[in-house]
Amino acid sequence: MKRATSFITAVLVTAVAVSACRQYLPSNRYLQLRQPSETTPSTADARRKFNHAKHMPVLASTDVTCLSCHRFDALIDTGNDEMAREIAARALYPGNAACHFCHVDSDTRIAKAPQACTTCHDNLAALLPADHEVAWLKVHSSMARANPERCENCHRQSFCIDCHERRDTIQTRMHDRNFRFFHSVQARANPMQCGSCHREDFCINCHQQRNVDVGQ
Amino acid sequence: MGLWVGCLSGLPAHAIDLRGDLSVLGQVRQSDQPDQSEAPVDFYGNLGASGLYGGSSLDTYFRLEQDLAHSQGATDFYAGSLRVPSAIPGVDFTLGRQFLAEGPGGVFVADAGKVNINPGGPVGLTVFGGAPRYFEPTYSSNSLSQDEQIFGGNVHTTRMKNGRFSVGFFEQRRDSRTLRELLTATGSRAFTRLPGMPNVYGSFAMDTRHQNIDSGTLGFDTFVWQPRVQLNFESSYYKPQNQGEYLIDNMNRREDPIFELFSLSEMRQFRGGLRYAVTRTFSAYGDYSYQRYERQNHNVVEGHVGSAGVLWLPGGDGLEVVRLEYYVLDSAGGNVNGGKIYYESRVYHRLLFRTKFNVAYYKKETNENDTALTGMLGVGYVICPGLVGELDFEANHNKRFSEDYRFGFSIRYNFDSRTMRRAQPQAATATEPSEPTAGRPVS
Repeated sequence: MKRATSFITAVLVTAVAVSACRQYLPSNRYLQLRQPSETTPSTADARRKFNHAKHMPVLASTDVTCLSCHRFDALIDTGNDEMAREIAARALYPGNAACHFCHVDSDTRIAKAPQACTTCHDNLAALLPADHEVAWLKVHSSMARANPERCENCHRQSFCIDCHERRDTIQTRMHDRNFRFFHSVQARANPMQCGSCHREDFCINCHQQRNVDVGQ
Repeated sequence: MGLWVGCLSGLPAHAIDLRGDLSVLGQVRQSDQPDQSEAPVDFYGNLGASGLYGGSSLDTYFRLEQDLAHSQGATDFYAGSLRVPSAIPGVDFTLGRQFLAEGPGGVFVADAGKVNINPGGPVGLTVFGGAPRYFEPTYSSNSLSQDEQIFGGNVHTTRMKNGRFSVGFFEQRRDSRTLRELLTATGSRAFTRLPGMPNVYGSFAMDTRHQNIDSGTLGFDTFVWQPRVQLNFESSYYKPQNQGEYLIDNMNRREDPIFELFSLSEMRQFRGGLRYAVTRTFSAYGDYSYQRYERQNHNVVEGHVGSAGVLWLPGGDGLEVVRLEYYVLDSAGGNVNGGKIYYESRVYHRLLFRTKFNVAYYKKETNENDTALTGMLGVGYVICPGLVGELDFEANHNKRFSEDYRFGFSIRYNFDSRTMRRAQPQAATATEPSEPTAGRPVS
């Protein structure tokens, strides 16, 4: 066992050391490093999805004109003609405020406009909400109760099921393998939490059938 | 030919999205029984289709298990539902086995129907009802289903910017008896113009049948600009219903929540967490919760759960993750001090690597003490886009096994394709409902 522990520890230390100097990792035809551009969070995918033909009937019926979204009058004066042309061309494209005017939950939303982020966005990494950063695993239940539709914007129901219902004995998704040996301490520290996924019979069946003292 | 073209052009321009996430997991390990091995193999299927008529979508999720060493098997059917979001304007309904998380009544997988009605005004209505299904892994009791029903609904705001409030009702019945009858309220509101952009949230459930508060939570998030710290505080109250000694006939068990095994009173909880972004790629975090409840009359016990750690994202792109954490548990059952380290790398196009190690020293009230270790190494290879194979090695040391080695594999296939009934002006169009993709690993 000591050898296995030493081996895993050595691999971990090596992995952390390697991660500190990624630029020195080999890259060849068999092992190709990902390019930074592939990983940059961007919302460009949403812009590419916009379909004028599909939107025109709705926009026309709500008195939205071309000028509502596109700035043909943007005056760009940079002293550099080429740069000015490029910026002016970019200014023609509306920002996310134009899309969110109708699609996001607000007073200006059009009822028929789908609200889900994934209607337009494929790259959800760029959309990670700020509140998912701190202790999210512990507080997500309260937020999900308050607004379940917000979760459905990005997650399928299988995402919830994977942690709350799916319990295979191969993967350790919620509890590491050694949790079994001190779960009684955690259960007594916060017995409310166990009930999020398990029912009383889960405890009783196992303790009865394996002749485990309740104290353990 | 002209007739055929005419017929095709008469069809609505639908693009149907088909997607799937199929995985096979296997492991070889020692059994708890002396001199026996286990070789479980799990097949998971998560399949869906969207963009069907009326914008409807189908979703299913199931598991097939077979222990090759003992020829035992089990099946779980987690979800199989049809969602029709826009066949009737303003009415979105889902029918079938689905995951329900509506209000403070709890989360369920249920054979149910759920209807969201949004007439376009400031409020909407949600109603749901069905029979819950339970999945527990113990001794093949994979689907514990009794004569149980849940019903509920709520009225909620639909146009409130940066927030949502709802009031509702939830009832849970079993064997023609009412277990819970809750009046519920939930709310969340972000104040984006205030310093720190605080977000306040909460939920409340009152059991009208038992005349007591079932649960309540109040919390808030905020952000401090200098230093860059995110904070979260939360306070909860919990008092589930004690159903007494009533036994379910065929299960020979009571029906109380797990909490009732440990307490006869209510529980109060306070927890706080913070995350300090030291640099763009390095952050520290901590979390602590305090619980207090009566184990017996006038015998108050306290529980402490805490953790602190650092998260390092070398390169800042999330392709590598290093997490180091210390955790502590202290309760009437004993105490635990442990540490975890986790590393994951996806810096190569086709190679995935992850490893973790968890060591915990525990001392229990039964005078047991030990150090339990678990470690895992996994190497994956992207065989082709969407198809990933992985080999795992796991080593454990604990009171039951002084040496426990496990070898595992997984094969996972993701696909997402779109069928076109007829040529579209642009390659991709917005369809309703959209298909969430978060939570799926990028391969």
